[in-house]
Amino acid sequence: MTQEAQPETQSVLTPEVQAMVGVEGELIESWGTVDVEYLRRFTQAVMDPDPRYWDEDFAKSTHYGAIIVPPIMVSYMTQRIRPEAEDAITEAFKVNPVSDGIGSVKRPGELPDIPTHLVRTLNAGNEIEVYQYPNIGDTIFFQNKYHDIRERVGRDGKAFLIITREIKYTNQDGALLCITRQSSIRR
Amino acid sequence: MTTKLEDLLKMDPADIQARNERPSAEELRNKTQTHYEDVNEGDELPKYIYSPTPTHLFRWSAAIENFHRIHYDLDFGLNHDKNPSILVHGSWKQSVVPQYLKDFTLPKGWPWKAQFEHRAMLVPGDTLIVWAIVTNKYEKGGMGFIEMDLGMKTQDGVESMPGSATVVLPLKDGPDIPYPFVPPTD
Amino acid sequence: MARFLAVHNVSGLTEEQFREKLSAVSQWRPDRRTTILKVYGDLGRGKLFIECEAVEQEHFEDWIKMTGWPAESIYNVDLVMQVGNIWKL
Repeated sequence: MTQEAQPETQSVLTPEVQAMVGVEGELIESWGTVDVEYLRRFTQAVMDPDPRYWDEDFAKSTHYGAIIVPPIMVSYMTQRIRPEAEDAITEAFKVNPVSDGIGSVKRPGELPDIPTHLVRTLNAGNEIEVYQYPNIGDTIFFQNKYHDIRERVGRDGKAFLIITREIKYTNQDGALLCITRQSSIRR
Repeated sequence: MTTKLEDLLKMDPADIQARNERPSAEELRNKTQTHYEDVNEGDELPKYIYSPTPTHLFRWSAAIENFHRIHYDLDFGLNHDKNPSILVHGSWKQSVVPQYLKDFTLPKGWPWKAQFEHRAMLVPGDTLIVWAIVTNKYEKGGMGFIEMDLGMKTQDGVESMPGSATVVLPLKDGPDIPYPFVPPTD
Repeated sequence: MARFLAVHNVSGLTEEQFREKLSAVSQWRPDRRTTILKVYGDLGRGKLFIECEAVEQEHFEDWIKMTGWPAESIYNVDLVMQVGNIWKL
């Protein structure tokens, strides 16, 4: 089990690291808009046959008044490679013939690195909060933020960080659609 | 009445798959409202059963433009990453959760929030059981809040995505849940 | 993780027995990364070649015991060429 750092453990939650809490990235407009084709491919791939996604007459008669879109679907729009960018896949394999396919593609709106010597990263958990369904035609905006950074001590007595990054997704009207958070352990 | 999770886990994959409760389009169209008063602590939600194949994984990779080779390139996955096969996406698992909560709260409830961790890796050939058990309920601001533990277990009982969620259901004689959703303030 | 290749003599093994036995041990999973990757059979000459990824050889030997197909020899695999790609394991 982990515990809070004790005085004799060398802390990794330095003032410089602590200062990153609340740091935000740029507000970025995702490429493209929410469209019926992406909605069809996504809902088929997640295997959700809900007619609220494709039966316009039925969707209009519901509580939501229109075709709805799974909020988490727009979160994947942030990883789209923009048309004006170079071909990231070809570039990834040029740099590393044994690339994992995603390479080191730089995404817009990324946060600055945490100033720590700890390099090993493990996924510690995810969260999603949903407030409104996106609609067809919406333009999606997203903004990264360091939501929280904590220190814990592992069984080996060494301190490590739990870093939580948050992304807020809004539409062209500034309406909050959803928030996702990802926590990672850095040790 | 859903099959209890502990009973499902004693069955072989074919019998688990036969107890899939994923709703059809018509069932979702005609779904009647579950109200706050209908739910009790300890209740189990319906079980969604999945049997992913390599083609399902490819379809997901294409849909969200995820080009990570571990999900479609068996040679790379086995020999570079030393994985037991191509892997089911964490992103797919975490996209199933909001759907599961949405279905439970339809037509007028709200699938507010969920949190989970990605644990065991999943591969084609696994039979996956999405489950949830109600742990707490309370009223606030004229709405009914239901808290639950949830996850995605394999046929061997391995938990691949331990988590929890809070959804909002209308009270039987209460007002509609506001849309867009606004949580009540303290 | 390590890769192993075992060679077995299985004189008289039929295809039906091959399928039945592999089905019977298909749930074997000491951990999520350990797996039997491939089983090659030349049943006419009573030979099987079995490739396994495991934390240690002992886990593979446990699986071999379950099949009842004793291994004539077990090799470590350090290099693989698969569909034109070469991997150092």
